[in-house]
Amino acid sequence: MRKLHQKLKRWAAGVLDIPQDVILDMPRITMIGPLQMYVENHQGVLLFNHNELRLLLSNKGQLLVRGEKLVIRQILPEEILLEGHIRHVQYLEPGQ
Amino acid sequence: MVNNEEMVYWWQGYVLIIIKGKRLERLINRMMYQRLSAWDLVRLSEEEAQVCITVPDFFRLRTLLKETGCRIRIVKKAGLPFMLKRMRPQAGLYAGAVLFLAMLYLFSSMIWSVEIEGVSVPEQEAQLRATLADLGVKPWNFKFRVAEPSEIKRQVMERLDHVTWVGFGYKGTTAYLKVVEKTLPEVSEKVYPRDLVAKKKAVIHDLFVESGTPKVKPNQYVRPGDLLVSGKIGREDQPQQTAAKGKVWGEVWYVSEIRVPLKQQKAVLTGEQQGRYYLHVGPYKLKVWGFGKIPFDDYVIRDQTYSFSIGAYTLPVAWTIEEVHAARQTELTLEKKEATELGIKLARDKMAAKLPEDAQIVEENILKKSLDSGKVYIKIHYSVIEEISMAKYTSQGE
Repeated sequence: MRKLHQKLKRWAAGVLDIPQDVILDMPRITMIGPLQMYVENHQGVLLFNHNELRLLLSNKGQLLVRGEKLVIRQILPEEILLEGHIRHVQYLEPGQ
Repeated sequence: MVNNEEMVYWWQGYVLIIIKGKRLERLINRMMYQRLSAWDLVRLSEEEAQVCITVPDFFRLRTLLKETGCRIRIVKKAGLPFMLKRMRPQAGLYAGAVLFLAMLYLFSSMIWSVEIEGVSVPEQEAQLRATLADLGVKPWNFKFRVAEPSEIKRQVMERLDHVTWVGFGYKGTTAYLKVVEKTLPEVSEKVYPRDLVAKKKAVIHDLFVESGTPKVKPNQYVRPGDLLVSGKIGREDQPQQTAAKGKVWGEVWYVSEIRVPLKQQKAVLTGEQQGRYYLHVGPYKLKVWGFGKIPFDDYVIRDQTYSFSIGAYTLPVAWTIEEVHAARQTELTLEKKEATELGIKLARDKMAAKLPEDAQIVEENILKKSLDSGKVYIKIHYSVIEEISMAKYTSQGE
């Protein structure tokens, strides 16, 4: 049932030509090399220090960013601009 | 951080703070949802983070801090409000500096003088100046309040009809207007067909015709309005109208009457005199010597003014010496002959004053002389040769 729901959503996104991230409620990530990372549509900061950032996502999963000298340049609701040396980006599925 | 946003923050003023607390992530999320303007967030250690925040939001942050139990320490204050605070002791100096710069800028964008080039006639220059002043190009006006140079060019061109090209621009604080005037071909004086007719009764003495056809001969008698020189030239059957031009001298008769009394009053100087000295300064006349009333019953004043000049420039100071000569009226009785001579002289002077300059008296005849109740009465006849022609415009149709 859930799978069907997902499928329907995906199909709608394709047919209606709506960006996937809007339909599927996923984060949109824009990166400029390893220097800058712009994450839209996240659910909040779970952890932040100068070599790790964890963001909560809407599906209860997490986005994990590792690097050095991380600085949050700007924080807006559901948007975050991160700078520094980004080494590693990883998705953590819910319940992992 | 985008540059112009940073500028906005700088205007508002911002602080760099260190936040100390256990649940920093929670605070960050709270800040996020409260839409606080915060940036450059760095985690320093487990319990410390550093962040920049604008001053208004800093106060909003403090309410959040109470909820999350964090403490803050201000590290650095930056931006305009803090700068002003720091400058307060020397406020006058800084205000003066800013004012000076503002004045410098304003005065340098002012028009100080208007130069007009290429106009030959002073009246036209004045007219142009007035035109420009109407458009706002005048001293003490700001350049940015005046229309564009191209617009001014257009307006000046519109208002003046004798210019071919107008250039307008600024050189620093001087507005330059350059005008190239139309060089019109010499307009030959448009002549209308005309004849020359007689002004007064006369006998033609001589004529000199430049253009036209003479219609009279010497020794011919003419009345006022008689045609002297016709503007028609060419053959009888195909006449062309031109402007008659020339001079016609005629002999004109005048009769003049004059009465001369035999008893004549005449002022004779007694030899007594008094000096009076005046100093003129500009429009004022100042008596410096010779005060009091003139001590003579009858007097003649002769004065002479001396002004001082350096080169071509006359100083506004002058010196006037008045000599007041005492006079005595004496009565002298003329002989009849003397009175007649005096009368003739007077009549001739009167005649000469009445006649035009190029006229000459060729003959004078005394018609009548009589002595009546102490006065000599003389009637004199003059023959005068003078210009008698007068232009009379004829319409084309005639």
